[in-house]
Amino acid sequence: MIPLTHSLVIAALLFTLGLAVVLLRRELLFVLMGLELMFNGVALTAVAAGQHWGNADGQVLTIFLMAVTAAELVVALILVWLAFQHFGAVRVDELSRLREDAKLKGNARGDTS
Amino acid sequence: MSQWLWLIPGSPLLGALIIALLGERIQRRHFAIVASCATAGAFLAVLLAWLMGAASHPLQQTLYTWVAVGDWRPTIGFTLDRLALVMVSVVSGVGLLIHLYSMAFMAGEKDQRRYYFFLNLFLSGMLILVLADNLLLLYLGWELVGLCSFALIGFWYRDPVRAAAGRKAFTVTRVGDTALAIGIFLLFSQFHELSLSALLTSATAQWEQGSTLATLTALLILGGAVGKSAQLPLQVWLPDAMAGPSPVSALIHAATMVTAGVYLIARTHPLFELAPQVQWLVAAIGTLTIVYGASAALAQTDFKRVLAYSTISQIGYMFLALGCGAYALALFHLTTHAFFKALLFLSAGAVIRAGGDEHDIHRLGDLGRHPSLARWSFLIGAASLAALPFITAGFYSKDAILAATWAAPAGPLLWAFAAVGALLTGGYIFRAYLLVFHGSGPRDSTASLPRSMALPLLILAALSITAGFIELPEGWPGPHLWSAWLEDELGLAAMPPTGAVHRLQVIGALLPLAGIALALVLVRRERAGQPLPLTTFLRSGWGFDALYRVALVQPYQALARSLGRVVEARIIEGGLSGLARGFWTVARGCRYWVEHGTLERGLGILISGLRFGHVMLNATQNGMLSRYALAMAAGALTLLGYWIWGG
Repeated sequence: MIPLTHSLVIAALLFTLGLAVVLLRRELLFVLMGLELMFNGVALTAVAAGQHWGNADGQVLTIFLMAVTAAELVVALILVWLAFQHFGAVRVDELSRLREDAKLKGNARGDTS
Repeated sequence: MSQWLWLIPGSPLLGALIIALLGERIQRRHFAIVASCATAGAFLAVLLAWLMGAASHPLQQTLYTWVAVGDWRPTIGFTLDRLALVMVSVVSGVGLLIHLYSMAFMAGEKDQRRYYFFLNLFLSGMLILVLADNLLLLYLGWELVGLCSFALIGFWYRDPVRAAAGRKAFTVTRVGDTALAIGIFLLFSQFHELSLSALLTSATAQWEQGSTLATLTALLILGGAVGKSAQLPLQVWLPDAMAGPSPVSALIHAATMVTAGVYLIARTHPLFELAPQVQWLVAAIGTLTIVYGASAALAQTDFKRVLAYSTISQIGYMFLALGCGAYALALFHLTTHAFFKALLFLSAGAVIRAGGDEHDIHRLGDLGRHPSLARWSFLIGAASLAALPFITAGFYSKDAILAATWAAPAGPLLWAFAAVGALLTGGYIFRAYLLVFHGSGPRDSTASLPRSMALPLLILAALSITAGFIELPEGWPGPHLWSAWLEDELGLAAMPPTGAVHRLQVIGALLPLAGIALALVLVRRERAGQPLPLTTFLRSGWGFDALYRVALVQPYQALARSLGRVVEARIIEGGLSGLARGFWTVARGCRYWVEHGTLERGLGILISGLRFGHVMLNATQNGMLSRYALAMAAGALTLLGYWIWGG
């Protein structure tokens, strides 16, 4: 039987790796992969905790999580594809339209002052 | 009938309101009709009250609670007992006749609306005063009457003399009104109650006879009565008040308003019985005023001023009766006086108008051609005023007062003064009659008066003769209806023994005749150019006006002037301009230091701070997903760390 500590350490490593990927990589696909890693870390924690307390809720949560992640991934991949098609973007930095608005506001303020 | 009691004061009030509010829509000649109908309404309500038995048991109506403060709830409530019944009958009856008379007398007047408005308002004020069941409402009526008398005396206000007469009446009566108000406050502070019946009952129960409080209260009420009834020393306003139109003089200064003081004392007589010294003072003021008024009337040359001084003197008789405890007799004289004095004023008004607004009795005598009805009615009124024995009402009422005086403390002294007054009364009124109607001018004109002027004169003349027969003198066979009827409410005065009464009656009957003889002598001397000694002194009303001018008016004016020079010019105005300069300096300082310095710089700092914050915050809004994610992760980590180690 695997002790709870080991499972949690693995889960934490997975989550941190995923987070690091999300933060450091700029490609949209890699960001999605990082997210998947984080989900798996969370799922592993749930399974390990369920096993430790002899409760099936952890497993149930993981199965639901897999289903939801699959669905989410579908939507996310479509968005990535659409982003590529519309803006020709593969990196997240290229998708900064909100910033445009901020620039406009900045210009307006500059005019009045 | 009780629920219709409000109609008595309400009807003239309604008339006044209609005239005031809808006056634009009423034609000028219809004002008189509206006002007379309103007064007739009041008179009919009084008649109805008689028929419904108000004479045997009092009626009471409470309209609504006027003020409600804690447990103190003065009401608008009316009580019609016998005393009030006498007063409302006289006021509404004589008031109605005077309204009728005014119709013709004031027909040529432009400002009918104001005249009839105040006339009606005056009547309602007087009726409220008389019917009020608490002192607060009584005071309301009291002040309403004072206000209307001011407005009516100064009715022809474009003439500064007449306007000043109105002001004088208002100011002088105010002295008395203030005393009355303080008296009411005093009663309220003692009993926490203003209802008349409750107040008098508890005062009788709680105050000892002759106690300081009772004396003080009675004195203050007496002050109010003296002011309104023109007794010494506040009598100075009444002679000047003759500046008003004659019907106003008849209404206000003969029949109604000046009797308000008599009514007030009769109404609060239990208080006066608690303070015997004050009650005696009432009698003393009365006697002095009798002699004062009668002697001053002897020397007057203005027709209406003769009557004014006569009114002062006659009300002195009522005060004398009140002071002797003969309240019923005071009311009796009040009633007969209202009839014959209104008659005298109205006929004098007719004579003055026929003579082209001439007031001087000598010149009126030279003019002649007086309306003959006015002459005869004046003669009847004069006979009644002089108390010509057996045939006139004045004889019965005045004689009863003289008899009652004898039994009072220091009675013979009071009686002697009153008897001198009675002698002088015959003298002055027949002097005026002889000078005006038997002067060197041509005989009376036969031109008849307008019907609405003639009718009141006839009715009042009839009443001046017959009103006395309801109460024959003590010890005579015949009716004694008046004192028997009022005995329950007002009690009976102590009368001297029968033998003394008969002797007094003989003297009382001879005095007017002696007075007429005096008048004949006076007129002969005056025609011969030998005026009475002391004429100027008497004509000026014993110099009271001059005395008050020196003693009160001039010091007051000097004080006002010096206050104007010193306090107003130096202190108030100097202070104000200093204050203004100070404020100006402060404002300029504020402008330099606060506005240009602190405020603007502060705003500048605030703005640049905000701008810096904007730039800093703007940096976070770079649209870079990984930066946002980093911020979220950092935040989550911080919270987590706080939760694990910090919490």
